[in-house]
Amino acid sequence: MADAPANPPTSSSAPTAAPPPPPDPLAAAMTALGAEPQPTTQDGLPVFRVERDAWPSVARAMRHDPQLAFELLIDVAGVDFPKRRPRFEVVYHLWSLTWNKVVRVKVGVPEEDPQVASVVGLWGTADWHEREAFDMVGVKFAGHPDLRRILMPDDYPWHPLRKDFPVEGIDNSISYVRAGGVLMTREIDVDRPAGQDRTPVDLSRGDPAGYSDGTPTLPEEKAK
Amino acid sequence: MGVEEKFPEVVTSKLTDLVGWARKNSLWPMPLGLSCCAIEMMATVGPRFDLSRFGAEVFRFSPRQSDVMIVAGTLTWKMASVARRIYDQMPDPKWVIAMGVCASSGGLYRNYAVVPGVDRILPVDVYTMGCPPRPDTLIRAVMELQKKIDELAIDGRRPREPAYVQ
Repeated sequence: MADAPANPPTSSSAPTAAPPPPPDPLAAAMTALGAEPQPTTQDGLPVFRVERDAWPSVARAMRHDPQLAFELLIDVAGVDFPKRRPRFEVVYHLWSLTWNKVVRVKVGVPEEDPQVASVVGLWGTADWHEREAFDMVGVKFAGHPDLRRILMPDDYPWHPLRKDFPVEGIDNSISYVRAGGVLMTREIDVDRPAGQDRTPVDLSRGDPAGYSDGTPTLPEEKAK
Repeated sequence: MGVEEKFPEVVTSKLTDLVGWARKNSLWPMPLGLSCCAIEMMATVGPRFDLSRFGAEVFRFSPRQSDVMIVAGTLTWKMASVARRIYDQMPDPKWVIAMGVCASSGGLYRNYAVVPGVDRILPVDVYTMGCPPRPDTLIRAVMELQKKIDELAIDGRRPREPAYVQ
């Protein structure tokens, strides 16, 4: 995930004879909003870093300012950099159909207060993308109309795409689905004689005690 | 001897056998097609493999009308409560075929999102290997299930020893 060295700017991507000239002053306009230009990556997209507190106003300007006019939100991604401070990053990809420009905006989110303003009001696309970022990485989006998990069960206690989460899962068994009530309303197999039941798979590699080496504890551990 | 000698057109049998015979030859599957195994399941009911030779071709997409749930594919935890609810909605007696390694054990998905074997939430009667299993294997699983249904008591209670189809 390290930033690649900057490429020389390519001129081939500049559209010719569009009625308004392509917004060369994109960087200037973004800087005026308080965004900090970053070295670009291999894909050549302009990258900007925005302070978390400034993000709502920057997003509103990017959406509504006719000089920017980023009408389309392509993607929202939550990223975990365990050794960086702030630890989390929310990455937005925005596309201006008017200016034919794609831009990448990164917002750092500290671990102590993993929260960033939702942009659902500006781009409806953000709804499910923010839910996914919340589900997988645990960044909360303030102002989101319905911030539920989207990929994992509603009562799942962890955020599995955090880097300190074991890929095998923790306690990957029936136990954490119990709270829904749906699954365990009935004994699983009343007919099978005792001893025939499958014992839970040994997931010692996924044991919480096995991997937490000073890293922040997960909710389950705190409960114990 | 007995009745059959006197009335040659009459066949005597046990009611249990008769009911079992009827049950095992009119299985109505509830297809729970969760991933690529479902394609093989569809092929199984197609004309080339023709599951209807074993009386199990009437796939009902309604649990209320089904006898056997074929879990064909990778069951995620998100889907688990739905699968269990569908199973609960099926009328007794009912059976479960775990089709393929994902349904049997989680398969190659050893991760946080996948249920490591649908027997965590469902009583499985027949386990099937393969990734995905060929239609022959699913037919074999249905035949194994028919053997089990033969031994079924009339009230639906039976030993729950699972069968393994390789």
